[in-house]
Amino acid sequence: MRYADIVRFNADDALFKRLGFSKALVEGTDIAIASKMPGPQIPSIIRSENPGTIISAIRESSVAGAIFAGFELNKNAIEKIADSDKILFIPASEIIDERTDRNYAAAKARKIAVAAHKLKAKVRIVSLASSKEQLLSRVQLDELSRFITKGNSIIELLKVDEI
Amino acid sequence: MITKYKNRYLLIESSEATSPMKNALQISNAIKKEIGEIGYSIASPKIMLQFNESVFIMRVNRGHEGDIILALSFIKKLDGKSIGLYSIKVSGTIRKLLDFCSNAYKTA
Repeated sequence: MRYADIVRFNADDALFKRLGFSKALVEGTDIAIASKMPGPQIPSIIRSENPGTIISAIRESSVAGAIFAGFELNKNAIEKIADSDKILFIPASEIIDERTDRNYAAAKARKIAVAAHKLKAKVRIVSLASSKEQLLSRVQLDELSRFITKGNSIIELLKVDEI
Repeated sequence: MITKYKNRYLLIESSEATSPMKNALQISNAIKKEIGEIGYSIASPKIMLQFNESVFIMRVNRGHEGDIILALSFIKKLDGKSIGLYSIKVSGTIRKLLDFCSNAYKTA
């Protein structure tokens, strides 16, 4: 199985290969992360606190998925994501960040993951690292997804052919 | 009857040169902070050898490598510096990890 990661900085391909990823999608080059309706140029991910923005953007064919900013749960948005066969992304860097309460962030992410699983939406964990310090290996993302979901395999890693 | 303690070896790479053998106490304290004294004594992590300035091999009790891998994900500061610790590979023998290292960290 070939896995991919989404990052916010340019890093060495050899580093990502060692971390267990076949491909690293760099924001701005391979993928766009937008807070409003994105352009059609490259695949994009909509990231917003406003569920209405996510619902309207998710219908676009260039939008690959969505991130709930601040892990705010909205079941309508998750339903739309499931119906359009898009992906709900969980950013690992926002959970492991020292400045946040990790348990609280993990609990909120768990609620989203469980709701998405019940509504049959795809949930994928990515690092969304802004620097080398925030990067995680495939093994670590796997453990983190088990930590978030208390041992269940609800959150999976992003596969290369899914974007 | 004495049971054999079975181990797993983790290959760990850091984002900065850490001299892991010199900073072993700091790495242990950081892991202890994440998983607690009890978790630390059950997992019993120990740095076995250093491949280069940023790559080292850590021994962990079998069955508890997940706790150590997760703890390493949470460690973002070591000796006052920002750092990332990546668990690259888990293996039952050091030999397999050293073979992986010689292929993966080939100098040009």
